[in-house]
Amino acid sequence: MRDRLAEVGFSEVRADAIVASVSGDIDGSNAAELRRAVAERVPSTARSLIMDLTETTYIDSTGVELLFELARRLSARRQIFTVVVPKGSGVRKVLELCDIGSVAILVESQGDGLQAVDAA
Amino acid sequence: MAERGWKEGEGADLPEGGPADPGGDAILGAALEGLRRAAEEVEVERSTAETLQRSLLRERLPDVPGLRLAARYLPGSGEARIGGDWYDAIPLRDGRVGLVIGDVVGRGIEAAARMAHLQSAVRAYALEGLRPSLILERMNGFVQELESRGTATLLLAIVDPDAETVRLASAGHPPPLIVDPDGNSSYAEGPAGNPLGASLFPSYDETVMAMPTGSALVLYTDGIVERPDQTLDVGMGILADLGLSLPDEPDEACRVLLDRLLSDGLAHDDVALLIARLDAPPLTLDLVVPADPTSLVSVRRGLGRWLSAMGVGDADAYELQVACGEACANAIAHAYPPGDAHFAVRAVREGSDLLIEVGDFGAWRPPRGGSGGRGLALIEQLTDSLDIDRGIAGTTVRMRRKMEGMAQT
Repeated sequence: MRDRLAEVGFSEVRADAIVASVSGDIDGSNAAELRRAVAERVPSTARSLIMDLTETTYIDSTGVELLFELARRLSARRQIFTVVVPKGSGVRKVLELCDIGSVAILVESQGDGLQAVDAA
Repeated sequence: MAERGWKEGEGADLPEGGPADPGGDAILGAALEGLRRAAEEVEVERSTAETLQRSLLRERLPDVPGLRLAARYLPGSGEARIGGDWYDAIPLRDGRVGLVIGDVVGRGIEAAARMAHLQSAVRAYALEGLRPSLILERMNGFVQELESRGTATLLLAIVDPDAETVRLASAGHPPPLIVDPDGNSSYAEGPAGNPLGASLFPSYDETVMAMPTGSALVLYTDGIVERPDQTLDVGMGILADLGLSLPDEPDEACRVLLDRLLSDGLAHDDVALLIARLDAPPLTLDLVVPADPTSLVSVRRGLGRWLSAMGVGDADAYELQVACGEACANAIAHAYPPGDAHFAVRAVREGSDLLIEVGDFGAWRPPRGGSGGRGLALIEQLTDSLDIDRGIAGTTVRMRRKMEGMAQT
């Protein structure tokens, strides 16, 4: 039996913002499929994607790569990409070390993410 | 045993002498041929049921860091033979594992098939992360919905190796035996609950028990403790006594229990047995795992548990898990041709340093862009030194990190 390690849930909190919330671990065993799952749910007409990693318990470089690839795809379509990670978490540290801030807006809550969409 | 004696007795009651009418031989021949065919059919059904039953039971139990597992299934020797007993071990989130033992009422292929339904349903509910009492409630509903009605008993134990606890709920199943690290054995307390399918609105209680490192949990079906010549209580008493000198190795423990409890080597009813032992983390962590991305999580959890036992705080442990995970991902991605291959992870404490080594048995290839390069950069940022030894026989990545305030031993 294969453990998929993570769950992803989608919600459209506002007409202009799709939120993808990932709970659990992201690693080399599920990152590629997770990227496809998220990419499929973001139409080219969407204004923004908020990737909520508040409940994400682990992320490695394949997970970081997933975010960079999503960022490339979104930026090519002029869509806003926001990543939610609480301060002080291990996931936050890994994302900062990999300079995710260069391709996405890094915030601490979904509310901050929506404000970032408004401001953009 | 009693059953065999009864059969012999009945055989002796057959009328003596040949048949009265001349055509009797042919009739008797046809009757015997019919009996022979019927016996063959029974044998085919029996072996089909056994094949089905065995194919549904995991031959290889999952790797759960900190937990050693072993299990057995034996068909019965009596009329019952294959009776839908089963065991399962389901790895859950956060390193927990759901242990299942159950007994479907009925015999033969039908019982084996119903057991298959129940096994899948328990897995599905357990993977949803539901608590044991709720899983049993859902299972009761599931059994009510099945077309072939009948009851089943089921015991569910969710073991958390990190918290050193076990959470239990029972649907009419005999209680598991817990052997503590000092070798004392006792049965888990708590109500047995209604068997699945016996009541429309059952409620199930849940018991949380401490399961300190070194404890063993013995899950079994009644076939191991119940015999025609002895009551359930007597059998459970014998099992509890055997628990006092249970071998540490679960596989050996299974062998000993079956040897002693089924003294004639045969179970009257069929028997399922599952033993789990919570291991103390060793001073040196040594893991050898398949070179496959699904191994990442078992290494991560094994290392996490070991680091926690070494007194390493959560934040540091997380960073070391990431560093080690990157080295493992590299071993998986680059070091092997496709096929069956393994790599080794070793973690050891050297004074105030932690040393983690990831060794593979293939040729090192430099990571080509993408996440490979990012992974190596992460290791460098999360450790104090990184050394890659590219040997002919394999590559070893050595990571060292100074740990301040690590628990002294």
